[in-house]
Amino acid sequence: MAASKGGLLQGTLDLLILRALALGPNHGLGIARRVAQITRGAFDVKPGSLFPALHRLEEQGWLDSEWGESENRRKAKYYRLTRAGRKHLDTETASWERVAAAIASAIAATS
Amino acid sequence: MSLRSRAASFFRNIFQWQRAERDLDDEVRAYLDLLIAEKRRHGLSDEDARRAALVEIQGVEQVKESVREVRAGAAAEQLWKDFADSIRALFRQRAFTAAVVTTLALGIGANTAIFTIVDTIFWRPLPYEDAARLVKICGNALGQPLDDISLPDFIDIQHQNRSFEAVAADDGQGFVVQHGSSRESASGAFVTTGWLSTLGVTPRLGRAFRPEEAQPGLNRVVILTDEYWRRGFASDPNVIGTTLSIDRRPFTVIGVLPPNVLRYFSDFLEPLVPEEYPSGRGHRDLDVFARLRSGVTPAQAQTDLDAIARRLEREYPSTNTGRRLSAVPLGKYYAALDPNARQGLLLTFGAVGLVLLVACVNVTSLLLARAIARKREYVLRAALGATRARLVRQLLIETLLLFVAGGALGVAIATWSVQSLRALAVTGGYVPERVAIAVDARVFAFSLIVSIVCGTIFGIGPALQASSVDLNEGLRDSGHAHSSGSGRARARRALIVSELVLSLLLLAGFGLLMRSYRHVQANASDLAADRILETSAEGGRSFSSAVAFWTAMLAHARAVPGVQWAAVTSRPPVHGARQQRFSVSGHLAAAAAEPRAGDILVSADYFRAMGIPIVKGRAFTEQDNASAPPVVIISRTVARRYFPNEDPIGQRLSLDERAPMTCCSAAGPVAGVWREIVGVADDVRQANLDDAPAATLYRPYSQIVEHDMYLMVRVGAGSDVGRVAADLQSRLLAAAPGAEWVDVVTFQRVIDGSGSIRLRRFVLVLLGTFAALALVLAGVGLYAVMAYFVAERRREIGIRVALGATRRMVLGHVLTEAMRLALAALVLGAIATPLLSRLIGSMLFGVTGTDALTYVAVWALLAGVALTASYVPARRAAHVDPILALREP
Repeated sequence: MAASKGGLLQGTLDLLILRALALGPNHGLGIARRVAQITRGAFDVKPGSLFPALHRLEEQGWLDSEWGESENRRKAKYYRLTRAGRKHLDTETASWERVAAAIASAIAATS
Repeated sequence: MSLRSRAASFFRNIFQWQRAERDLDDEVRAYLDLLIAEKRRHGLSDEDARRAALVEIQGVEQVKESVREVRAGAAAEQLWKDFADSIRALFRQRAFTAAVVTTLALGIGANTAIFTIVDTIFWRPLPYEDAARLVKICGNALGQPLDDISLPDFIDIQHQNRSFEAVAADDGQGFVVQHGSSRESASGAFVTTGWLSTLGVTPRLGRAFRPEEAQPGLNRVVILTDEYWRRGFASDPNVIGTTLSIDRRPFTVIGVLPPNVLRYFSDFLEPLVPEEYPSGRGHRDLDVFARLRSGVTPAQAQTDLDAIARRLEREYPSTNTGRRLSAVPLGKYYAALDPNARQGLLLTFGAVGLVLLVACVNVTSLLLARAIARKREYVLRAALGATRARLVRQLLIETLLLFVAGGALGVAIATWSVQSLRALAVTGGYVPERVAIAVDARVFAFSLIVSIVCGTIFGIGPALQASSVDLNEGLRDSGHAHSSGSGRARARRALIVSELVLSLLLLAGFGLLMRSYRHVQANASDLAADRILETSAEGGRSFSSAVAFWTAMLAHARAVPGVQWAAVTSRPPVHGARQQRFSVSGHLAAAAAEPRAGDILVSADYFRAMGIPIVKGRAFTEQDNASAPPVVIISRTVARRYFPNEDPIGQRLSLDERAPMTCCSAAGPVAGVWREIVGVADDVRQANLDDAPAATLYRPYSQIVEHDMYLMVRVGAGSDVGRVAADLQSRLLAAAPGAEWVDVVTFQRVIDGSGSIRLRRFVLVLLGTFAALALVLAGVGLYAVMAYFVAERRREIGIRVALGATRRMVLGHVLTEAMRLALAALVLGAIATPLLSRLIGSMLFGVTGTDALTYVAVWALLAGVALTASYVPARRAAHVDPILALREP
């Protein structure tokens, strides 16, 4: 429920977070900004959906977190992909691509 | 207070809740810091950057709450938190909590107490191993009710059957037991030595009987029941090996049974010694039990028994002609022992269920009212990010806590009341005297399940209602929401009407049964039972000694000052009667109907002493003795049934007996004796007061007498019954000290103790209690609803008064509202009454299920309660000060 607030499906948000973290560990705000970057501003992830998603992914063992210091020397909690998270990202990416291709061809066929 | 906070921190530590919370807080705060820093880099001032960041984050608390929702262990952690919150909330609202818990405790307590009794009698598995394989073997003559079995028949069953693993028999008897200095009468049972192993019962102390203990001389061993061990031996753990004297013979205690093994009789068991037990095939006194071989069905066992019965019939025609044997599953046999008691108990259980329903509805109504009062709290929590599921869950937890607390208090009430209830049930004939009843784990589980099930059912509605909050509306209208409040008020009115309907049904049921009870009592009213005294004794075993004894005792009784008439009888009214077949001379054609009647032996003045009119012919006289011609008096029913169009006086009839029964002695041979009908007596109810009078024959005791007879005395007008009773008792005791006199009691007490009266009284007492309880609860519920109705309309009433409404008009306005609710209940109650009369129809006597008088009385009572309950709120409304009411926010 909470994760779908921005009109994002929960699975989509998870995929975007994992994708953003594939580029390297980051903290909450950094992840939000990176998602906006890689989707060319299409998704603006609000903390109300970001944090529950981060905690849920951590519960599932796909993310790890530790306290660290940010670029401007502020305390921040950093998340990074675990090995299982990376594998999950690969399978999710593959299945997402299949779905996207299928939907694209469906749209092409009907229009 | 400090204890509570310590407890709370204890729970937090368990779940490391605090650390996770701090971590979450840090994380969200760090995010905020980073965001502010980012805004500043984009050129905003400190102040603006901070405001922009806070807007973007959309509430720190909401973010944290949404994380808590997904965190692992969050469920358990939130549950604890909700639990602690609920307890705190309930402590804060002590009056509310006390009202709800008390209401529930009454409802659940009453149910638990009744359940304890019903469960022990009907539902608990029999305390025997693999009880499904146990059967009771009964005998019966063709077309007659089931009876018992003789020793030789039992031995034949034991040897000839192919269906049973074991067969056992017992026979109960009264004894005088002496141990230490106490001497008391007790009931014992002779049992075959395999009795315990057949039933699969192991003594809780000591051992079972050994086979050799069935031999004469080796049989001086006894096993006590649990109940007798507690009552007579103070639960002495060292009782095994002690000696006690039973009928002046020494016995050694070898064992103590577990509780409730002997459901219907006996304080102790001793071995049955076949050589010392009556060996006639006509002496049928043994209760026989058997354990089916594994794989054998009761039907197969029945076929087996049929074959045995036929063999016995062929071999012993004089005793066994027409006799059948039947195997009844033991559970079914016990359950069928007293169908009236069963119906009464289940009815009571149903009634107490209605009380619980009323209590629960009341609580629902209170919860709804509180939901309105606490609306701001829920709105605030919703604003802070609590989801609806979370709110519903917390409200449900609160409700369940209330119900479980009510249940716990209810168990306490049940524990406290169950022994007096048991005493009532024993007097009522619902619970065998020797069955122990106690609140135990099973009862506890029942009450817990009832609490949780009711809490869920009746809590979910208010929880859903309360949690459906509209943030904007809720915060704006400060809890006095009229728009959504009126929906709830409607729900509360519906609830209160249903409470009133339930109370009405209980009251109507009580009223109908009360009227039935009065009618049953009235059936004995022409007997003037409070001026008649009753006692009984064993007169003598031979005809001449018995007649001489009673002739002498009658003379003693007549000599007591105040005694108007004295008489003896084999059975007074309501004691039942032995049924006999008879034939009427010259009525051979009518013999197909096989005339049967109760057979009573009486002395000359019996009809005068009891006040039974002789409607035709004459009563017996002292001259109707052994040397006079045999005579008989018939009851009006016999006359009507067998002499419909003729005068019975002077006709002759003969009772169908070959020899006097074992309980009687006669002046001469009884077979084929033709008796002349000399009189017709008015009908009396010889058995149950709520049965139609049955056919009865009276014979003079001076021609045939029973060993045990009752002495009946009518006390003359103007004499004190109590004093005459005392004088009579001391005179009889002095005249015949060894005759085992039973205490002199008024016949009224005998009637009150008769089955049809006491079974009804038990149901009446309980139903009355429950109806009153339901009525009080409904009254309190109505009061609460009306008080709310008035509080809600203070402004409206203020305006009315300001516009010139008188106090009387305001009072009328509120009372009319209450009457509308009561009227709705009356209409709905009237619709539900056919259901009620179907439920209790078989217990009604002399009234129909739609008895107008009862309903009018009940309706009046309900309307009265409704008026009383709404009077205080109405008065408060009438005294509303318009200036104050209009100034209120």
